[in-house]
Amino acid sequence: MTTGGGEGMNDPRENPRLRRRNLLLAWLLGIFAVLVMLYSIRFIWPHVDIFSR
Amino acid sequence: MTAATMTHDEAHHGPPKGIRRWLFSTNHKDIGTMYLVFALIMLFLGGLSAMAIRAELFMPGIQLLEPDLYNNIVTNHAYIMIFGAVMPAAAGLANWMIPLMIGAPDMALPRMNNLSFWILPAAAVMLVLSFIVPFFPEGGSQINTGWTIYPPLSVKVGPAMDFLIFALHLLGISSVLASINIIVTILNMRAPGMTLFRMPMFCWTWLVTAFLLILVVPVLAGGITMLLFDRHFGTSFFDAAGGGDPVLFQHLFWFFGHPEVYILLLPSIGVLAQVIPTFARKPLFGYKSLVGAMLIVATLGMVVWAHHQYTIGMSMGAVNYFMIGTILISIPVGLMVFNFIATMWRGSMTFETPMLFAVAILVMFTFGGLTGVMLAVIPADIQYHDSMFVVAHFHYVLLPGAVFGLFAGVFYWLPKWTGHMYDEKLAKLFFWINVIGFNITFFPQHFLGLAGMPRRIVDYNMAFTEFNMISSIGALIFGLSHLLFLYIIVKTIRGGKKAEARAWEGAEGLEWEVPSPPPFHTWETAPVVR
Repeated sequence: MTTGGGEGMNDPRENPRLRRRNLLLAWLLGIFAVLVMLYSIRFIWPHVDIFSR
Repeated sequence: MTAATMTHDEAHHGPPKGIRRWLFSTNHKDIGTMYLVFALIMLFLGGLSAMAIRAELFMPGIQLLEPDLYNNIVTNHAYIMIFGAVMPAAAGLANWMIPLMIGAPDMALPRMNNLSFWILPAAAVMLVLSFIVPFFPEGGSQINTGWTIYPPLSVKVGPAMDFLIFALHLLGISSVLASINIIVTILNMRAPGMTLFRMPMFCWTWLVTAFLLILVVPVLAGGITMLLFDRHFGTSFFDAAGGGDPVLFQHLFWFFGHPEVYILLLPSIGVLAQVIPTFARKPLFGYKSLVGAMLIVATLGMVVWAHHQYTIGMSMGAVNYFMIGTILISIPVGLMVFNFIATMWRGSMTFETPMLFAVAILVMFTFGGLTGVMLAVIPADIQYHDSMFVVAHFHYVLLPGAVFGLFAGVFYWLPKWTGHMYDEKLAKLFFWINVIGFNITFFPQHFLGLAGMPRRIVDYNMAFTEFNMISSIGALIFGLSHLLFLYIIVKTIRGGKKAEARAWEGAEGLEWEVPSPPPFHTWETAPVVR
């Protein structure tokens, strides 16, 4: 995917469609990263009796 | 004036003046510069700790450092170099070059870019505090765990460990935000005609690196969060006495730690892929196969983490799987090296400093890879485990593979950034002192390891004295050479022969189409790549 030609078309401040696409992808990647972290804890969780000390 | 009321012309003014330019910068070039300066400061800080380690090991017996302080310095050296110097330096190159290379006006999310950088100094303060805190009254014990921070030892360390955990969290957040920005920039902001397979290889390597970071850094974050809970909130994730398992932390740590090696390596491989075709005056050999090899390395690199844990008592099936997987990685890495050699083959080569570093990388990184294959073999590794052989292998992989690649990148793009050519004679002098110093430091450590000297130990048997003395003298040469590097950089920034837009005769790519130094804003109108 490229942004297409023309002045300002590659600038998210002047191209709302590009800005929306950038934000959407960024949020998806961010949520994915948080889910990976939570899963790494959930992955350990079933193996241990965490509050037994 | 708010951003919403800012008109087009006002938004495209030159750089603001004074400290505001740097504090509030959303400009990829300024942020790239800040990353690089930060990395350079941390390189010297990490270098100081390396000097302290080698000074202590110059002779057997305890000379300068108490054992706990020695272990603390070893831990700090690793974190400062990996998270403070190499990763930010690679991010600095990415910030500076990716938008220029793909014809984008800036990174996709410039404010997040500012945040990614400014988290770093806060994290660095926390990291340094983790070193200093034990020296204050009731500061608790020093961090004597090494960078792997394995429990149960890391659960018993004093408050310094909490500073380290929070520093790692901050560094992780910074890395993930920067990675998101790089992925979005590369996928969404390319100029018309700049398809993925026409992108400069440096962008490809960073795309893969950024995905790796997003996949593995959160796992470290999860691991150290559980460590924090074990330390303070009565859980026993990693406490065998409470039904937990300390080995599970090792798995989480190395699920991050092994791909981290590729995270450090790949951006430098990207630099090589820019430098070698330029100075061989030939197109890169096997572009698509290089992309494929890199994807295979990244994928395999994610699934072989437990080769760092052969001695924990895994089943034979598991260790065999990790051994075979690890050895398989040498195939795509070999392909990469082959591609670079084939690019040089019958090229009109000249050996300016970036090319010298590139050739040095191919020789020494391959040597480091070879000892890596030795370490991958289970029966051999059980002998080499936790010895100085591992230290030598690791530094042969990461110093040429990552740091020399960054040096090559800095010398390659310095004329573009500053508008001045650097002093080639001094730079070559730096190269030779640096490379010779490096080899004197780390080559003897192979013999020390094979003879049985353990790593991470403050004192050693007298039989190991000679090689340790040689190694320490080499370290002094290697360490001091970086002052010359600093001098060359400062000299180039202050003046020198004017650099043309295309600073190198054989250089290709959009970054060489803009003036040297580039104006504050570039590619406001997207170039069309044909």
